[in-house]
Amino acid sequence: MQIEQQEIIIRLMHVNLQGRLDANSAVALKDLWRNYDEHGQHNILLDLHQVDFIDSIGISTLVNGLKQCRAKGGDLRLIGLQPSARAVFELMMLDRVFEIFETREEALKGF
Amino acid sequence: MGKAQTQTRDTAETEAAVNRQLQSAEVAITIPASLNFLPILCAALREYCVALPLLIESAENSLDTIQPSEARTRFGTGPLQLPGPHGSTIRVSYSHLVYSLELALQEAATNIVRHGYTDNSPAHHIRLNLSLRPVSDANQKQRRALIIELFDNGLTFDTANAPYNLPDPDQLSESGYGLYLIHKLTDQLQYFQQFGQNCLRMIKFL
Repeated sequence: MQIEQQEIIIRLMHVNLQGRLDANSAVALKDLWRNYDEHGQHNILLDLHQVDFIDSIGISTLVNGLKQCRAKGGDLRLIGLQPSARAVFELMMLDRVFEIFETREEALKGF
Repeated sequence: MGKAQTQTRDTAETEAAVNRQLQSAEVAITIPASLNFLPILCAALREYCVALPLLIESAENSLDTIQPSEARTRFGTGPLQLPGPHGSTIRVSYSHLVYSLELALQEAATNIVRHGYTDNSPAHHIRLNLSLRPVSDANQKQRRALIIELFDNGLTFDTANAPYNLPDPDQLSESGYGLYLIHKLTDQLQYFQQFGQNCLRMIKFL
């Protein structure tokens, strides 16, 4: 999995993931969350349109990031979830918990 | 009456012949029991699924001399059709099926690595077997199914019969989803010991 990050607005990180978000690669994302927490970054736009597979540990890592952001008054929003991955979110009823958007522009509103 | 009986028997014979051909198309792959290697298992499953429509069509076509029309009508429906001119919808549903099975496999194999083999020894392995066989469904009807089997020598955990439930989404749980997904994404699960190994058999009707 590849991670690209950019602070698009002050205190708002845009993170673009590529590849598989699974039990093996989730560790890198958890490290990133820890790093953001230490540096006071609590608003994250996570772009998943280049992620072709997410397993339950990958999703758990997203839940972990979401909890961390919301605990500090921020949010973690998802963009570009692929249809099959979105179906899995629905199966886990986590589509009710995350704010999921098609585009970055939509997700930016109200941040 | 005689004709109807003959036709029934021919259909059954045709199906049996196709199933025999399909059963010869098995895949087995063994990997070290490490999370690094699970994408290899997943890739093997995806490749197998991609080949399935072609495999089934080819098995049916090879019987054309026996019962061409019957073979087509009997087996030519369902989500496993080759993508055709109207293919986009079929392809989407098929790719979703493949994704679901890949996820079930990933979850089951992850459980073996994390909970079955607890000593981190590099000597441990996981074997994946992929095959096509007729299996009895809940109504005792024989149906063609994709069989995904995982073999391991780790701690025994009866994945098929262990209780599972979906964590309350509002609790924002960070674990406990794997078993739920395995059950939801497959049609039947069996867990047993064979030749001293644990085997989890995941069945998906096609």
